[in-house]
Amino acid sequence: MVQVDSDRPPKPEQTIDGYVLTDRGDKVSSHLVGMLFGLVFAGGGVFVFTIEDSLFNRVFATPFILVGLALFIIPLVGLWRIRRLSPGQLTAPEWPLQRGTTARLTHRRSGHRGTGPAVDAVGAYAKVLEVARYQQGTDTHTVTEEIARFPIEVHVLTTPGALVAELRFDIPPDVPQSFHARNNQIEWWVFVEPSTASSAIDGSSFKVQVSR
Amino acid sequence: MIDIHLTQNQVRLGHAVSGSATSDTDKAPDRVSARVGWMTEGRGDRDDEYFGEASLDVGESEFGTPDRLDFTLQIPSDAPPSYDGKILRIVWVVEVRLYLAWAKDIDATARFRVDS
Repeated sequence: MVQVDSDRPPKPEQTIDGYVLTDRGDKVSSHLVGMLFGLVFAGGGVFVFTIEDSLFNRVFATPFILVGLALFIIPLVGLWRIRRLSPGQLTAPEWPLQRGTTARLTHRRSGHRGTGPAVDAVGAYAKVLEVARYQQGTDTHTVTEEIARFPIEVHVLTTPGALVAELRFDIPPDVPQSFHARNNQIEWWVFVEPSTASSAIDGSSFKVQVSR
Repeated sequence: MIDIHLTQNQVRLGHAVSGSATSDTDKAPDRVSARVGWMTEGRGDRDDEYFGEASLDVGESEFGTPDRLDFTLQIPSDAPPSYDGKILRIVWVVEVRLYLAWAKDIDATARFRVDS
């Protein structure tokens, strides 16, 4: 009957600057799992070498070692990219956001070791999704449908040691408000995607609460 | 059969929906109740939530004559408004139920729209 819902937008932390949401997307674990998989793969190849250093074993084990190293290095590079910037934070002066108003948000990410990130551009947009979950036998299926997307105006501020961007977008009055029940949701998301000319930087995403 | 009559088909959040329910069943119910709530329809499994209930124990005259239940049910201001989306709908209903002794209960619903 009444819902107990774990997909509700996280409650923002109230600070002197406003209501702060932190991007909790776990991007580190998947890279660590990839690195572990690479180590196991390469380790298996090395183990075959240690049994007997024959031509057959070399031919058999070398691809395992090469693939294992690749599987280790690719997520390692991804992890290094993630470590360049701290998790994103989104600050709103009021909470929840209201339909029919202009949302003015501040996005902030700090550079590690106090160095400012060299970001060439920051793109941002908001997305509204319908999410429906249903049970079929013992399996749970989730269907997602995008119902609206809005560009967000971004103004990047030059701040030493941090990436700070002001975001501004109009929330139309006729778009549905956030809704969170056990099996059905209407979710509002804000995505912020910084980029440099030379390399990609992982973006931040925030589930926000929009009310009437 | 239960006949539900709503005084309005469109209500705003935080306001009340009112109406009456009558029944033409042969057997007199022990109790009649009405409640208001929303439920989801669409691809996902159903969610629902019901609010305030008006009820009548037959023999009491608080809600009118025994074969007629008048109700006024409050809609919370923080409840979701009606919604008709791609894979999800939120519909509001008044549900009336007759509790019959030694027989299956009878219920009926009437839909209406809730705006924010």
